[in-house]
Amino acid sequence: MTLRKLFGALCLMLVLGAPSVRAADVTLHFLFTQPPDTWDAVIAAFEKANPGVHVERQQVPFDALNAQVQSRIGAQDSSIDVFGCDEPRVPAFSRRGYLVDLSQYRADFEKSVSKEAIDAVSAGGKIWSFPLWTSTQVLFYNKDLLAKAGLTPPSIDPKQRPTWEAVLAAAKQAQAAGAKWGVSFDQVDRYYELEPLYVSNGAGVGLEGPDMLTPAIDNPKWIETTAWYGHLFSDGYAPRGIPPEQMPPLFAAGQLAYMVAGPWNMGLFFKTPDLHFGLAAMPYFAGGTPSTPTDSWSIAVSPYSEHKDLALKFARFMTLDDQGALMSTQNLPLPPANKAAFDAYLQRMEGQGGAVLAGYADLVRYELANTAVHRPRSVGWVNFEQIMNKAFSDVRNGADPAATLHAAAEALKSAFARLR
Amino acid sequence: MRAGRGEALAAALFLAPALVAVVVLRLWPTLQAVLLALDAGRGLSLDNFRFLFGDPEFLGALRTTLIFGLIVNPVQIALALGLAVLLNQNLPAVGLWRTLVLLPVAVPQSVSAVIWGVAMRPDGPLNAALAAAGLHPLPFLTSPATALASIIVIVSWVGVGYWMTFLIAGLKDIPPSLYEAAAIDGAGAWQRFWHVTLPQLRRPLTFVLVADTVANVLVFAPVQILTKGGPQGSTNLVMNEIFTRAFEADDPAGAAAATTVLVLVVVVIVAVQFRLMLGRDEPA
Repeated sequence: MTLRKLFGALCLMLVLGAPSVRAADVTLHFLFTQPPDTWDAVIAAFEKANPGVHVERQQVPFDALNAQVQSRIGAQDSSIDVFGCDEPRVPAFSRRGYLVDLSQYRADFEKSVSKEAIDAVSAGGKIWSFPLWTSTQVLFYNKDLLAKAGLTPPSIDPKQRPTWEAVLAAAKQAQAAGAKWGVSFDQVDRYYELEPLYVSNGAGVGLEGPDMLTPAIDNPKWIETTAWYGHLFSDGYAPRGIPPEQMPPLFAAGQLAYMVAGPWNMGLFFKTPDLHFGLAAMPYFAGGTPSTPTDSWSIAVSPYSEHKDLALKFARFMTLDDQGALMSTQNLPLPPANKAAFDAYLQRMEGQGGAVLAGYADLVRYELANTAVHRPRSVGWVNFEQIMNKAFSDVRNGADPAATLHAAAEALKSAFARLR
Repeated sequence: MRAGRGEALAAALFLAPALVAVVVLRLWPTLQAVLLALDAGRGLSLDNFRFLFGDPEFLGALRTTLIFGLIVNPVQIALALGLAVLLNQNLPAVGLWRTLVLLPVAVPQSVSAVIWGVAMRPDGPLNAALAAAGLHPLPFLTSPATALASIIVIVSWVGVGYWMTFLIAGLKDIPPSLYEAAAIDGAGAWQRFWHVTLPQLRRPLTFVLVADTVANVLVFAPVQILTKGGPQGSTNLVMNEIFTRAFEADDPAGAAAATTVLVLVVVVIVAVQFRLMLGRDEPA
């Protein structure tokens, strides 16, 4: 009798519980590398506009994203619907079958984003991903450390851009006056932030040929620029052994006088009490070409998603929709690729940033129009990025630049041969 | 006869979940890796193996793994054995010491790697301690001369306590009468260790040697998190090489071939270890 009652109660619970799960309830799985609160506003708005849809966030470290995409989407796993795709990875990922052909939406893309943004997510004449943000880098400086050394802050006006030679001299002076470190990059050892050094010094981007599958990194200009990078660490301007994730906190802690970094770090800097910072145009080599990094993340839809239509709707909302695109910059202030949201973003930033960000909008517009250098668009990009980042890391830790670049060139040839 | 058949059926039923798991989770993926390595979809070929054995990165990874194994296994087992013998004595608060030595096992490998990474930073607490003691700072993970040694310290921090527990269990199984008899025969502490403890520990030591060797061949998390195989390939252990090849370089066939080589190497090492430790007359 007791068992019967128990069975009856279980049945009742099942029947009563059933209506709470609506037939239309769908969970979209979104894989990305940014802090999860980046998406608070855009996900809330999307879920409100689409009752029954829930977006589940899956954050992984930047260095793990490639492996996650490769191992899960590569295995045709449906547990990812939407994922962040670094734009230079589009040619390799589309070749591997990890992306959905979006060319049928070309007219919508052309209405909302620039031609450059479409090019950044295209390969083989097709569009593969939704451009989310664009990017540039600036030179942050610590006002207190500069004042202590009697240094004049560099200008935010790109026409008065500082040279690397001047920045290194000032960094030494700041260190002599008490700064622990002089100057560093926040994304140490990453090609994205170091590429402009090579372009500025006339060394080229490192890949050549019609398919950009021929390494061009062991020439004198590349060796010279790499040696310059190595000297930043051997001469004590910048610290060894600190990963990119820990570099902005070092600046926020007042240990670093100058740092080349992305504008998204401003969120942390504004929140840090007693940190007085300013920003200037990214330096260039005297006699060289002013150059800055660009391109950014895009939003891709997995071909193995079980909810592809909804996944496409979410990705479109985050990027091509003017309001959605602006919401995607709320907690991580990167310039949106969406044209209307881009203008609104710059207005908002200058309004919120006060005197610190006076001139920021003009700087971003100038850099994107005049100095931005794209990373090589090649099916070999993923291999190139991985091998080059290791080479930069080795040089930072004291390896000989020429020997390191030669070994990297050989590794690239070997990796590219496997792609063909 | 009928009872025998019934027993066999019961045994098969009990074994079935484990056998299914072995087939699905071990043998099937291994077979798939071998087929992929042999390019089975396009006719059998050894091209992937030819490529690997001409690739300096892979050969370097094999060399680094060999050096790593030759150092880390004896160090871990010697320390685990020493600690097991020490903590098997009637020391005050011996349970506390055993717990403290075993505690790192409870910390996930990734977490302990991050903690060690911060501790070993050039401006981290370990160098601060060295400076306080009037010693020169060490580059730890940033120099090819010290990075592999640093990884050995990190994996041993976890490993030694873990393997120690098996050896303590082995020590507990040794009948005290053997030590009493040896003492009556006039054997000293060293002679008792050499002639009673070690021979009696042969089976647990064999297990620890084999399992530790395999575990150390498969070391991955600390390398991936802390050095990614650098600086200059000095910590590029073969598991990191396989991971990089499979999931970053988009070379699944090369990674499958490297996995096949790794499995063969491990099987040979384990077979040799069993033969050496158990002798010809004892079943492995």
